[in-house]
Amino acid sequence: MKRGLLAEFETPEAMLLAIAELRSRGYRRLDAFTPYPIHGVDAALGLGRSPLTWIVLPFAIAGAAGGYLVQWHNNAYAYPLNVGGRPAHAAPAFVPITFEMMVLASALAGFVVMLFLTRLPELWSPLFDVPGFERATIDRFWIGIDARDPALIRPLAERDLTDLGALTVAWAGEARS
Amino acid sequence: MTFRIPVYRGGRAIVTRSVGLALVGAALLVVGAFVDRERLFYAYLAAYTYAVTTVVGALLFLMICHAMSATWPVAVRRLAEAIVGALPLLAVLFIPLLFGLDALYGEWLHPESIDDEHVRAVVVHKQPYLNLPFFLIRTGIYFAVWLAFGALLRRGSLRGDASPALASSGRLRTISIAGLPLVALTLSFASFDWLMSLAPTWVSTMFPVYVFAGGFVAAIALLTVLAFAAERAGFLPGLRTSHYYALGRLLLAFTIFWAYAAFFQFMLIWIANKPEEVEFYLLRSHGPWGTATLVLVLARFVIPFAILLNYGIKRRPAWLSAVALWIVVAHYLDMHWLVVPEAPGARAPLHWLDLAALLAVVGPCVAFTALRLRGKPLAPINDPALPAAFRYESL
Repeated sequence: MKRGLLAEFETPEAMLLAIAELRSRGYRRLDAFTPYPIHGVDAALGLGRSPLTWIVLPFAIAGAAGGYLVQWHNNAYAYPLNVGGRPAHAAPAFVPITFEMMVLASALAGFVVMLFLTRLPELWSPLFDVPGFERATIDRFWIGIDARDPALIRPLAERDLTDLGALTVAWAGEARS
Repeated sequence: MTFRIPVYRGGRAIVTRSVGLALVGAALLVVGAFVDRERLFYAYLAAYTYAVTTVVGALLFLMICHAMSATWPVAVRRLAEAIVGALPLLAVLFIPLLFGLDALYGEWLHPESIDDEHVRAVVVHKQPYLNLPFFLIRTGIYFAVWLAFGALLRRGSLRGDASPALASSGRLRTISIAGLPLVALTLSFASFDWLMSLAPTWVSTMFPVYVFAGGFVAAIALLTVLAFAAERAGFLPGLRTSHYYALGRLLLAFTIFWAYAAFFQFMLIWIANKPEEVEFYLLRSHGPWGTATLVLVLARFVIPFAILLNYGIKRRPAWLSAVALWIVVAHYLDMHWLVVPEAPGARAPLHWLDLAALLAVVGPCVAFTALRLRGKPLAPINDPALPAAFRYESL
């Protein structure tokens, strides 16, 4: 999120409770900022599984197929050599490189697609201007409600968050026009 | 979160049925002794190594969990201990093999009967290791080690059910750390002695890894099936999706490990193409054994791997148990594939004696395990890690 309402909580339990309560009140574009992974936060936010695995799968298949094809082309088609009487199309000998090419293609694709999906690297975000937000990397647990959340009506949401035990509530990004 | 773990009282039906099947199997084996005595022992050895590698695999799993002080496996630890409980009976079930040593290991027991001079020289060269007294001593050592560590861990854990102080001492961890190398080495040497020496001129340093990996996967698969059965029967409340997921991940990882060991053993032998090494694969690549090899690769690796890759299936207990049951069966195919092709004379891969031997070996083990489990809770109730083990969550 780039704009929205941020709320600071002292403990992960309080934050999880607040997320559950906010979701039951109809907020859908929630986010959490915590110094370490919190058990149950994915489920509380209603996050699904990352699509990364399915995106990487075709790259893995392509890497394996490409690796095998290159070996077949070089060793069996373009420049066949007799190595101790073994067949030019030596499938068992092709397997290790095929496997390694699959690993390489999936690892690179996984890394690049992950950067794309998470919009990293992000050197600066309007959220960082909120005073005290840096403690999200130290000892505080923050909830964000995205400005695009249709349920977000700022004064009501601010009251909701304060009632749920937020230490501070602050707006990040440009104020809503 | 605490769960009351009920004491296991059932098993009457399991015991009567498996004893019944075992008696049928034993009767068929007696008949088989008059039909094809040689084939009988190959069938028995395949069934026996199937059972023993699975049980020792479970012992290794148990020891690894203790040694690492792993939390979540505590929830299914008693089931692993139950599998390990079959060891004393397996030691007894080795005795019939003693009558078939000539049929199975005749080549190195009587090298003077080998016609080919070169082969004879190779086998005679191995006599300081491959001779009957030393073979029996080694087998005795294997069982001594397995029985000792199996009993120590099982009894230690059961004692903890009575007194919390014993359950929280680190004694079982120390025992496991001391025992792991011993059990791993004895399993490796048992695979040399009982399986590899069927073809006394054949050598492969990857072979024990292959047998080890197969037994370990089979043990985790059996553990998954038992966990599902125990949970369904209400003996293990509190087992969660995450526990099945953890078991499913291990199944996937060690299915891949088995395939790694199997493939690299094959690839290195194929690429070196040395006569005394390739005989193993030549024997298994023609005619009906060629089909058997293909079936093994599909059943043991391709199918379980493709299914276990899926995230959702690993979190569905019924589905995962079905795959695990498949792997348990596939491990038998693997042991059959290792043992039976070595039978002299071109014999068909499948024989009714295989089924008879399987019943005669697995039946008593199931009954014995169920009997030993009676009157015990299906989780180490006093283990300090048990509440955390039931809370285990993994996304």
